[in-house]
Amino acid sequence: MGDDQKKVIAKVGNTEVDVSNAVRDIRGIEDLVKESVETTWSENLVNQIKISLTPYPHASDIAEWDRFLLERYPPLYTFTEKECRDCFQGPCNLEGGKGACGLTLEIFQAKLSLQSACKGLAMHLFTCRELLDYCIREFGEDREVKWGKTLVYGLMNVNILISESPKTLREVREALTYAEGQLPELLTAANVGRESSIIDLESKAFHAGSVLLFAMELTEWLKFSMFDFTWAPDKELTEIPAYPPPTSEAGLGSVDRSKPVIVFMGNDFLSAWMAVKYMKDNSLEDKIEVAGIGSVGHDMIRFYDNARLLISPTRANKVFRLGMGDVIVLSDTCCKIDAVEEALKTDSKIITTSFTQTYGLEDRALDSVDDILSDLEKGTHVVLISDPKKAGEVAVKLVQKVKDKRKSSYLLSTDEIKKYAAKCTDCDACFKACPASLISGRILKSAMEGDFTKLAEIHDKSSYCGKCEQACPENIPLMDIFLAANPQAIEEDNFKMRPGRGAITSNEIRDIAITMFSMPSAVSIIGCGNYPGAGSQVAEMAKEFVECNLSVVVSGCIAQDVARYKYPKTGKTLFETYPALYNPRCLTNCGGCSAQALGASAPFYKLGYIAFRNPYKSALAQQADFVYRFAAVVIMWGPATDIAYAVVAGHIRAGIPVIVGPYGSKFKRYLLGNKYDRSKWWMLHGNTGDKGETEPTPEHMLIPVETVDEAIALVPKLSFTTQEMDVSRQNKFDLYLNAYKKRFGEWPDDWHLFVKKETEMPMTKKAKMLRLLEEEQGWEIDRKRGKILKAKHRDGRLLVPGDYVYEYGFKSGQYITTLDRLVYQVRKDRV
Amino acid sequence: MILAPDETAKLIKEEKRRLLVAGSICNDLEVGGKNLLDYVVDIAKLTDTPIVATGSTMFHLKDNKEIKAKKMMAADLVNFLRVEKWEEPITPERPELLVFLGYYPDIVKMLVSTIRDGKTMVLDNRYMNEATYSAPDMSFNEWAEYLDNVIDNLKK
Ligand code: SF4
Ligand code: SF4
Repeated sequence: MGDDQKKVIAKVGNTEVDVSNAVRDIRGIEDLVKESVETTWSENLVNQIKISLTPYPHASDIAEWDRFLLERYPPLYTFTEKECRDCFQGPCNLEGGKGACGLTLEIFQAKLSLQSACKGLAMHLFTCRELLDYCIREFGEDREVKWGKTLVYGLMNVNILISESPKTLREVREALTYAEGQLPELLTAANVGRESSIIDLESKAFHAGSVLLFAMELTEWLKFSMFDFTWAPDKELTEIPAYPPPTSEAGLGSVDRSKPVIVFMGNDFLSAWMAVKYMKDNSLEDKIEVAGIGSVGHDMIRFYDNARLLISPTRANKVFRLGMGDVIVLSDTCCKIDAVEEALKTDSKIITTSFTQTYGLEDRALDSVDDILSDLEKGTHVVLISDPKKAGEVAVKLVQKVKDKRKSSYLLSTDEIKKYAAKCTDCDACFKACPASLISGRILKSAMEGDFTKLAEIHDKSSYCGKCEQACPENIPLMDIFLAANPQAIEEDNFKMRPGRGAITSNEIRDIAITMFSMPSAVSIIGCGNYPGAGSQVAEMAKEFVECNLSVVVSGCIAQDVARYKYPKTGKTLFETYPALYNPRCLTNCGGCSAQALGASAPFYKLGYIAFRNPYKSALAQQADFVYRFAAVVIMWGPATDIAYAVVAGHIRAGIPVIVGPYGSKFKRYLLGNKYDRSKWWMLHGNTGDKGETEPTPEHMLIPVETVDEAIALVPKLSFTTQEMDVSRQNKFDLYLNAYKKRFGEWPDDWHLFVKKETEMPMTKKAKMLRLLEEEQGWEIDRKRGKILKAKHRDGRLLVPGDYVYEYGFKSGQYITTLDRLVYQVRKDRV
Repeated sequence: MILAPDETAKLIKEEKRRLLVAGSICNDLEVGGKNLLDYVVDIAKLTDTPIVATGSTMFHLKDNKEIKAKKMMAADLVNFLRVEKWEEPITPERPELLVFLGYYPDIVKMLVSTIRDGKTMVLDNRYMNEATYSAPDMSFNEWAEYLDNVIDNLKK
């Protein structure tokens, strides 16, 4: 902007401040910037740091923070792809040198990373746009959107980028237009652009993540506001621990198959919503079962008590092979490409509803319901109906007609299993194809002899990806065999689920602001569903965390896997056992796919404002700098989809470390810190700007693990913060050391890097910790009195405790930051 | 490069700065009537090679006094390899050859692909193109035979 820029004066308390230079270009958004500063900046802060806002940001507007992250956690690429085909000059094999355009192998990896994040963003922008357009058509653009009684500050992933949460559908459209506008810029850089900096490409990948969380939050909000989904912010705090009740039926055994069954699958709930409405209008609720696979199922249990949540989409083949759906309704994103082929194997009728999955069919949206029904009855198996209302009505009418024409069971008989097993040549092609090393020829050999024990175990562990079946040269229908080998497991797969509750409320944040100082960590478990071979591991992980007094939030299809665990004594699930609050020793479910935006970044942004008055309007870098210093961890467990990649990127950019499960080994890059490199671990003194060395924490921002044990052990370690109360650090030491001892048989070798004083040591471990510090690390210890006499700094100096806490980390209460511009200074440029 | 068992044994013996990396399915898989982890321990003992135990493998090695083993996250190991100064105490010097055993294919593929500086060898039963050296695709029986052969050659 030129020097002739007009002043824009904001008044904060008694201070008047010119905010015309607080943003890159204030033209057209003067009022927004002024209002953002006046409502969320304190007078104290205005006078101590340079105001900088990033409304409607491009990636580069937040690059100062991204650079900090990428410098401390340099990308570790997997280099699994080496040939670039992104432009007309290609293909270029980059292994041997640069591509025709000058692209190096490493920059190519960063481009792949950005491409993955862009794909994830595009997928959800489409979902959000479809929903919004429908809402505007149905309700008009002036329709007000409600936030819920207690969502005082609105949507935090939205506020953090554009200052304000929309109040009408028109404003939602404007907000979404911003998000959609970011995609072409990011895609250009990812594909045909000439961006040559890895840091800038990764910064853009982060940006795709932030924009995705923004769009997901808008989607969630429309679901509540326009379709009355369960929504905790519309409840009083006293109601929330039991809200929504954990009474939704879930699992394959929850469906009454004596009734006609409609199964919905995909990311779009509208046709399910319309089908349920039609059923209610015609009193058919008792006569028809409606069930959902994956995201739509999580949505359905939020608006219809009788809905059944079947399974995550990663295991949808189970539903198809069992022939569960008399009618199957497909929508966008989470459907398998061969869903129609699979469904036809068991004579299901299929209605597909999305413009992204048209299967070469003509849209029947303009045809009458009777005409469509008549064709389906005559022998048509698949139709495309893009009008959700019509699709819902056709599904309900059709299912009543086709039910009796289908077989009652599609399971193989025992003799059929043996017959197929006899064809096995023990080549182990199936074992080599299986990502979880589950099936092999010898298991089929036992089955041929009548021993189904091993086959029965696979039923639970397999993701039903079908790779083994495809690899088998004898065309043995292995997935059908797994199902038939353990029919009772299907009946027993029946449990109670707490439906999603939407956003974390401001009241809960006020509560946790008090307990967070002693709470070890807030964990958010997200993702698309179980890893093959994992069985009930996700539930075990959630159980461990909640029992250790962590606050646990789950969202995405993984939430259902958490519900699968039942305490042996009580027979109750985790959801039935623990209150649904955002608080220590509580377990809450935010909801399906788009609710992944609600459980980690949003509540922490809000916490930053409520507890520390850290401004949140268009202030992503400032908030992330705050969140980074608090104990929160995201665990992404499940397939490494592009949506998962972008969701993870968004959380990292919010300052939250992420652990990805074994499926995350397909991610394009990780962000790992190096605890041995002391130069990387510092913070700035908030008053002086002096750099001070700190503990290496959080050590990583994105790390893959192989097992649940590793994830459990990493959470407390990544939750160490450089400033925390003694009791908090005691809890973390307890969890960290116990987890290692129990799961790996020994203490970790780096715990001493987190010790500052003896009062932070848990009582039960203090004597051993002090002894080891003396014997192995060269500290001077008074063992009798249990005191540190001299602590050994990592630079080799022996320091008395008082000096050590100043020279290694910062005292709690001291304001610290990672960004130069956030260091306090007396401002002379006030009006 | 696909290696025969004798070539595998020869390479392991030749490379002085070597490290065994034992993954999470070492605990779960039985190969030729033997736990996969037993093969790792045999190789470690015969060649005096330290073991980085990833996943939850360490639990089964902790009481074995005949070998040097340490629990690490696999990602940490490959991360430390990318900086010039080697500081991880499991070996005094940066390892030049990492021998992987007991991994899901996707995981070991990711791990070896990240290593740009140093040689990798995968002894699981799926051929790993991304590794410097790999065992071929094998059935369970062939795998057991292969590993037994490697052990026999290491004894020579
Ligand atoms: S269907 Fe199951 S057993 Fe077959 S390859 Fe997939 S995970 Fe393995
Ligand atoms: S691939 Fe088929 S024939 Fe080969 S071992 Fe597996 S089931 Fe048997």
